[in-house]
Amino acid sequence: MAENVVEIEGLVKRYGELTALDHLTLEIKEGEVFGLLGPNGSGKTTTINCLLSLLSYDKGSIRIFGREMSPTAYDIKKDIGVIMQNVAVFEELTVQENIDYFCGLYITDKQKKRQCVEEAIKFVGLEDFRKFRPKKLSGGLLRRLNIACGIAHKPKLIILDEPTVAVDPQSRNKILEGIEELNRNGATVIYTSHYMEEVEQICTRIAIMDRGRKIAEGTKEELKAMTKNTETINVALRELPDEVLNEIGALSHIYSAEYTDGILTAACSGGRHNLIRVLEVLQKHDLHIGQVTTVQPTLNDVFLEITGKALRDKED
Amino acid sequence: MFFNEFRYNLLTTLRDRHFIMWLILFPMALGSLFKAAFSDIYENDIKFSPIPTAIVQTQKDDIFKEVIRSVSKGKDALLKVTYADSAEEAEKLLKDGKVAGVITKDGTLGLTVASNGMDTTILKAFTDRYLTEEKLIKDTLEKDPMKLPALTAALKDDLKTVKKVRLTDGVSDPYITYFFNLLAMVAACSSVTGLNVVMQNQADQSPLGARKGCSPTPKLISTLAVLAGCWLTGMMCTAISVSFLAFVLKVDFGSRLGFVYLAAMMGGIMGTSMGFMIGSLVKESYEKKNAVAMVISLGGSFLSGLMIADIKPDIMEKAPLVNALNPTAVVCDSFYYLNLDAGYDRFIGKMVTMLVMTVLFTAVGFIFTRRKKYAGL
Ligand SMILES: Nc1ncnc2c1ncn2[C@@H]1O[C@H](COP(=O)(O)OP(=O)(O)O)[C@@H](O)[C@H]1O
Ligand SMILES: [Mg+2]
Repeated sequence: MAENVVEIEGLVKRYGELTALDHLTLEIKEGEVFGLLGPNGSGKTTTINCLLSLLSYDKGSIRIFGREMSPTAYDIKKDIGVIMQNVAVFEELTVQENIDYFCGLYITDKQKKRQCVEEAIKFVGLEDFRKFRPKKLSGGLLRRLNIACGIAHKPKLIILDEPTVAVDPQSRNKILEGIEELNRNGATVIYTSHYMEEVEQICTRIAIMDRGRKIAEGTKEELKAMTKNTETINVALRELPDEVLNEIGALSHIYSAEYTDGILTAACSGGRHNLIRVLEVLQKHDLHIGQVTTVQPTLNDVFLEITGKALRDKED
Repeated sequence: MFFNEFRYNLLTTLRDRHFIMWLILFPMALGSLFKAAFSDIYENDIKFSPIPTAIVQTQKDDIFKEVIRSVSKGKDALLKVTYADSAEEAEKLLKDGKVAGVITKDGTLGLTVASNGMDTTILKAFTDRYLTEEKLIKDTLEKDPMKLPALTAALKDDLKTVKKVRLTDGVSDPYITYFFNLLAMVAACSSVTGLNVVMQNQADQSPLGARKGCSPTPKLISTLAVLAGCWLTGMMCTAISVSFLAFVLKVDFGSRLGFVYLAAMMGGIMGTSMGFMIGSLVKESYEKKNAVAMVISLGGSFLSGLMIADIKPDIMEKAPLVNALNPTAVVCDSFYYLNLDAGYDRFIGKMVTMLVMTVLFTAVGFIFTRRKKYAGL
C-alpha cells in the first residue's frame, strides 16, 4: 500500500463564530491526484492554508511526509510546491525573474536553479513571454506563470488551489494536462476546484466538501455509485398533461419525473431501455417530441443527493 | 537565500513607479521649485551691502587711496567710506555707530572696530589682504595701471565669499533650512518603502506574503533581507537628493558635504525602519499603512519647517520633546548643526539619536511581525 503523503485528522478551524472546517479528516497517498471539490466557501482554501501551516487551527493534527507540519518545518516545506488561489507574483519583475525568485527560495545552487527555471518556463509554455511583466499577461498566462513559480523547484507534493479560475479554455487544458504530466513524473498532487468536470477529468481520488465538512470521498466511479441515479432523461415537449407525467413517474426504475420550462426530466435508477419506455408512453398519447438527451450521473448528482442543493449554477 | 531575497526586493523597489516618483522625482521637483523661488531673494541677500567705514589717512599713499576708491565705488561696493580728518573724529563716528570700523593709514595700516560682528570680520579680512597684497598691488600699479580694476575686483569677490561663508556658518541662512527640510522629508518618506518589509513577509498581508510563508526560507532571513534592501534604497534616495541639490541646483551646503551625505543616508535608514515599524503596527491594508506613514512623514516635515520655516523655532521652544522625537526634525537638525557648529558634538548627538531610533523602530518591527501562523488570511 502506498504511503500517506498527507494526513489531516480531525481538523477544526473557526473564524470567530463561523466554523470553516468541521472535523475534517483526509489521507492523501503518494502518487495520487487528489481532488478537493466543493462550492465556493466550502472550506477548500482554509484546508490548504491550514495544511501549509499558514493558518492557526483550533483542533486536529496535520502530518506531511510522515512528519508533523509546522511553520518552521523547512525540510517539509522544501518538497512542497504551492500554487495559491490568489496569484502571488511581483508586478515589477518579469516572467523569468519571478520564476527565478521563487525557485531561489528553494534552490541555492545557481546552476541547478537556472536549469529548473528554464524547464519551468518551457513546461508552462511561456517561452515567448520571458521578458513580460505580469500586467502584460492575459488571465490564462498569468495563472500559468503562477504555476511555474510553484513547481520550478520540482516538489514532491504539489498543491494547487483553484488554478483555473478565470482562465480561457486553451490555458485551462494546458494547465490540466500539465498537472497530469507532473503526476506522471512522480509528484503527488492536491487539486482544489469547484469545477466538477476538471476534478473528474484529472483526479484519481476526490473528496467532496460542503460547509467545512467532507461529505463524500472516493474515486469518481465510487462516488457516482453512491447515487441511485444511473441516468437522467431529458425530453423537450411543448405540453405534457399531468396524467402523462404521473404515468411516466410510475414506470419502474424511474424515481422522479418533473416537467418544467417545456422539458421533461426523468431520473432513472438502474433498469434497461428506460429511454425507450419513456418515449413509448409519450408516443401513445400522441405528444409532439422535441430534442431528447440522456445524461450520465455527475458529481453534481452526488452532491445534490447528499446536500439537497446543486454544486453550482449551470452558468458558472 | 538571503541574497536571492535581497536582490529581487531591491530590483522590485527600484522599478516601482511610486518609489521613483515620490522619492526621486518629487524631491527634485520640489528642490527646483525652492531654488527658483529663492533665487531672487538669494541674489539680493548675497548682494553686498557696503560696510560703513571711516578712513583716516595721515600719510600720502596713492595706492591705498586708489584701492579704497575702487572698492567703495559701483553697485557691488565693499565699503561705504567716510573720510575723517583726525583719529578723534573717526573714533566719534565709531562710537556713535555711524561706521563699523576705522582704517587708519599712516606708516602702517591700522584697524579699529567697535564689536565683533560680521562686518568686523570682513574689514579684518580686507586689511589682512591689503597688507599681504600691498606689494603686488604696488608692482602692478607701477607696471600696468590698467590691471588695478581686475585686482580690486578679485579682492572684492574674495571678501564677499567671506561674507557668504559667514552667513551660512554663523547666523542661519533662512533658505538653506528649506533644503535641509527637503532632505529630511525624503528620509522620512522613505518609510513608505519600509512598509514592504511587512507587506511581503506577512502571510496575512498579501498573497505574496502567504506564498513566501510556504517556502523553506526562514521568515527571519527574508525579513532581514528585505529590510537590508530597504535600507539601501533609503540611502540611495537621500543620497540622490543631496547630489541633485548640491550639484545640479548648486545649493551650497558648506564645506562638509560628505557629512551631509552621511546624515542624509542615516536618515534614509531611519526612515525605512520607521516604515517597517508602522507596517507592523498598523494591521490594516496597505493603503492604511501608507496613509499613516505619509501623515507621520509629512506631518513631521511640517513641524520641522518644510512648509513654514518659522514654525521650527516655535516648536523648539514650546514643545522641545516634539522636536527631539520628530524623526524629520532630528534629520533636519543634524544638517543644521553641521552647518552651524564648528565642532561635531551636536551633529554627532543627532546622528546617535537617528541610530537609536533606527534600532528602536527595527526592534518594534520585528516584535510585531514575529507571528508565524495567522488566525485568518
Ligand atoms: N479570514 C477570514 N475571516 C473570516 N471568515 C473567513 C476568512 N476566510 C474564509 N472565511 C470563511 O470561511 C469559509 C470557507 O472559506 P474558504 O476556505 O475560502 O472556501 P473555499 O476556498 O472553498 O471557497 C467561507 O465561509 C469564508 O467566508
Ligand atoms: Mg478558495
